[in-house]
Amino acid sequence: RYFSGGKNKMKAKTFHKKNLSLLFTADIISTVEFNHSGELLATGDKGGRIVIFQQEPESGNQPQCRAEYNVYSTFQSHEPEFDYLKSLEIEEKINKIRWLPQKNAAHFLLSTNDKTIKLWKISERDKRPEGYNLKEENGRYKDPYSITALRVPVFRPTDLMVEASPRRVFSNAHTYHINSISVNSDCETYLSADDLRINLWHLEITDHSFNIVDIKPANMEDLTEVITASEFHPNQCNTFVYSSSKGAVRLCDMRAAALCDQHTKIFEEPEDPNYRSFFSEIISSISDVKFSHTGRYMMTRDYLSVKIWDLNMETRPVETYQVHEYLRSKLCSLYENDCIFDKFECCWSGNDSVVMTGSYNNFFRMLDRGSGQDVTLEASRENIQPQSVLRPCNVSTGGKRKKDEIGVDSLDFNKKILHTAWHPLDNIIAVATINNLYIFNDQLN
Amino acid sequence: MTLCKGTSMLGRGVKRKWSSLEELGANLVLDTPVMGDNEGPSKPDTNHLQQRQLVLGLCLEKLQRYQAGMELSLRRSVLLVNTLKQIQEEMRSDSCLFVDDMSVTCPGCVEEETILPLDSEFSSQQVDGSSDQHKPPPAAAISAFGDAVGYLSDLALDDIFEDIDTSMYESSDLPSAWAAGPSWPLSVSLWPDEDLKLRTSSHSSTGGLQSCLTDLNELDHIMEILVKS
Repeated sequence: RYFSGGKNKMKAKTFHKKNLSLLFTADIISTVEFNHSGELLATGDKGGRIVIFQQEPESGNQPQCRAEYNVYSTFQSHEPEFDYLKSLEIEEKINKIRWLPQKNAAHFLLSTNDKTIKLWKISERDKRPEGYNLKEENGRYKDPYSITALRVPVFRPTDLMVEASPRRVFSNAHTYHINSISVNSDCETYLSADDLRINLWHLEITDHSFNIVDIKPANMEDLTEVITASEFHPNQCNTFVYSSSKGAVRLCDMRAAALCDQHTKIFEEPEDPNYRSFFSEIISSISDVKFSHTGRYMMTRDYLSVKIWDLNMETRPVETYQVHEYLRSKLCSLYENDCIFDKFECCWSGNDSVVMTGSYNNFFRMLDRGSGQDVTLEASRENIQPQSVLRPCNVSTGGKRKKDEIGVDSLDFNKKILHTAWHPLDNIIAVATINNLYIFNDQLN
Repeated sequence: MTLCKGTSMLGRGVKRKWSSLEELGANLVLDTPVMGDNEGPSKPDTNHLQQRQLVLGLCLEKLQRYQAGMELSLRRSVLLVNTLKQIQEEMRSDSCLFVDDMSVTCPGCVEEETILPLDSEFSSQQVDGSSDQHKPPPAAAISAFGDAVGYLSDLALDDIFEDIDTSMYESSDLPSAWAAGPSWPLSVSLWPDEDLKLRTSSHSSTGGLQSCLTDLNELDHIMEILVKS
């Protein structure tokens, strides 16, 4: 039932067919995240907006069209700000969204831009009170002297309304740009990480946070390494990791000290001397780190590869997958056009057997850990119709190009898939190109 | 393609344009050759030097690029500076610097008397089958750099900067690192301490960034002198 590389068939449900594509052409998608049940899918964009999609209730049971998601709520999460002290704009772009586990009827999520984190409550309202004594139905106040009798207001059904309201604003805790937020398994705290520091917050308290990692050197001229991503362990509420621009991941235990500058473990693979180049450090910079659902493994994404680490072994990863090795000989050009600085995310399937990450030319890659097979698929309007099956793509590197292959030099490096997400319980994936969101489900045989 | 002997190493220089880098042969295959594709011991070395030159120029250009009103990505800046430092280290070890009490020499280099013609390094005719290939590849570079750097090390760094006309720069405060004494490669402060700006309410705003840019201009001049294309 689960994805296997050889028999891959992913079916498309693309949003460009509906009016939803209008919401996306204006702005660049900057983050994608399923909630814990997979029923909701949140996207953030460069304009500071969040759009939440909800799985069509019936479709969850239909084997072939589970990827039916419709717009549930749209709201403006962050606005552009201006830092007067530094004379710089603060972008409203949403860097990350993380859902809180659901506790009641309402849904909560954290969203962050470069400087400020907000907690949003998304709630449904399908009833409204009617029959106020002092107010008309349109909201205008009645003349109190005209009231001759009293009545009890009643709730009457109304059209479903989904409201998003900001419940907390966590600001002024980050000097540098926030790149990650992660909700703790205790559901009470969360961490936020910028280039040099990581802070621990309590969800109820906005006026202070605890600094738990600080890698800022005393003399800024000595700075050689920054934090690129951070995440809490899914089960152990005292454990978190953070990755760096030098390709190392540090695991910290908050029970050891208040300030976790001393790591408990450091995961780093020595560089292959055969591949040493001017770009070695840049391509070793880790762009994303994700724990597996079990918490036993951890995945890192650097520019050319995905590595799976066993938390019990720091010296080298247990698995390494090449995402687009054909780019290794093109690093100089990619440095020139800045693509070498692109930060790709990665994600685990619900049962941790498959991992997925994006690439260029609107390609994304699915890597089956069990069988060792991998597949490259393309998310593009031209090539797929709804309900159609995606065909694997191949990139040719040698002189001879087979039919249906695309040459490395023909790849479009402006079409990059940086953000992908996998439904926690089902084989439904969300893939974001620059302007469009694609949702696929696998075909059950 | 020949190395020009710079007559005026001080004073105003012309900022090297991207097009002049292209003259270096950016249109050649400058991407990293895939391992195992060696066509001969000499070609990767020439390619390596040319690529190094290209990457160096790109590094400086990227560091100078400044989007008005938007903060630079710290990660990107750090990665660029680290790459720059790596190149500088490599160049330094290639040229066997003498820096006052600190001598960074490769064994045998001091005794190396042979001075190859400066343009042999970049001349494509000498790439294959040259009998000079038994020497360490950057031998030509060593002598070329040795000339340039020897001149520099003879002067106290202060003397150099006395002659530089700073009127073309908006900010006149050079960071202390420049006057601190011989410290090549020169350290460039690219990221002002953001926390300091928050703590002190005094006017700083873009001053820090502006001085960083002037630092980069100066660095560019020095690199141009030393690398000389």
